[in-house]
Amino acid sequence: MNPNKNFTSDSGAHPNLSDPADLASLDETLRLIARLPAPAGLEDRIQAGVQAGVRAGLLARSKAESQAGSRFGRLLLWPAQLKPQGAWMESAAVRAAAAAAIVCVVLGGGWGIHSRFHSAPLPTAISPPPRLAAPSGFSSAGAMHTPLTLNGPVVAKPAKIEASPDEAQPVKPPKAKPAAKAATPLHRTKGAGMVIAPPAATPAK
Amino acid sequence: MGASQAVFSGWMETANSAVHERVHAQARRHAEEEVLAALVGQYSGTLYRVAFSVLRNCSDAEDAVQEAFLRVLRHSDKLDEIRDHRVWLIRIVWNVVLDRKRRAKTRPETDDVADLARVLPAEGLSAEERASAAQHHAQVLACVDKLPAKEREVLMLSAFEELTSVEIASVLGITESSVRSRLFRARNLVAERLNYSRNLR
Repeated sequence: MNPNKNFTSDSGAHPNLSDPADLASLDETLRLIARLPAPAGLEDRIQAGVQAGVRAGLLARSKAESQAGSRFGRLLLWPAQLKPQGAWMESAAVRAAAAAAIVCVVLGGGWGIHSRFHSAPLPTAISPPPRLAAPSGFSSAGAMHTPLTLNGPVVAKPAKIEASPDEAQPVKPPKAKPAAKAATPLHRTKGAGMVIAPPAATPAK
Repeated sequence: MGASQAVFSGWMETANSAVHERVHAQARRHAEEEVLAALVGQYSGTLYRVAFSVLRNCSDAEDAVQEAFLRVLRHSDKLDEIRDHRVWLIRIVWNVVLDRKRRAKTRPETDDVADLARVLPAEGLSAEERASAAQHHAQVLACVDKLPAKEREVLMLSAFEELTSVEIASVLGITESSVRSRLFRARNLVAERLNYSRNLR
């Protein structure tokens, strides 16, 4: 224990009842351990271990992560063997241009495939599935079940808008049919055929 | 100057700046490695003793020091910001040691008396005296191991002459008054246990 250090308790309420001999033996043991000489060659082994850590890329990886993480964040790292010798890949602009080129190529390829293969047009009517004969020998004889539906509204035929000038004239009331052809005599006019005689006047009451 | 020339010149400037940045990073890395080598030469012994005081195993303590310097390597960009490298390194190796101790709780420490007698210096002692001293040290260390963790940590660190109470407080992340009170409690507890075990005999 360091004699220069003054490690005394702040609390004076608890008296120190421990035996000084025990405290001395405690201090001696701890001092022995604290003064243990380092094993021979410790420094060289530590140096070699640190150098091995450097060679393993520990430092490079942590630096790359810290640098890339501060700007854009890097998803993939070049392996040390495949890393190009020049530093052009370190530039953010070059990396962004390369990423944009890759995106353009992928999008262009996808659009080319999409435009080459058109999808089939949707059918306008749905055809019923073909009917199969029942395996037991009975069949429905081709009868089709038709659901009961309500009578829909009757669509009136639209009136003809364009009519011929002859038809535009007021419609004459239909001529009364000769009720008694035989009763009324037929008068022949000059230059004409038969003329229908006017109807007989009703007798006055 | 056309637009294409401007783009090309801008592209070349970017590439040149990237080259400069890479060269600068390499130079900085070499400087950091030199600083790290100096730290290894200066403090590896101290860190080994701190690690051994807790682990009490030569190879484990050496591995802990190795791991501590590898952690330093990972955060080598902070080396310039550290005011006291010694306390910073002790703090790192202390955390490494506690992590290892927590992970390998099932593995027994070197509490064998024969191993302790082999490790502890015993100049001018006969074989019988050396065995007796080793037994006594083992008994003291057993009492220390039974202390609560907070008191035990302060007691172990207080044995190092290199560390003041302020530095111990910095390593453990507590106040100096806490260091003093914990140390007082720890010493009393160990003395009581030693007295109790002596009376039993």
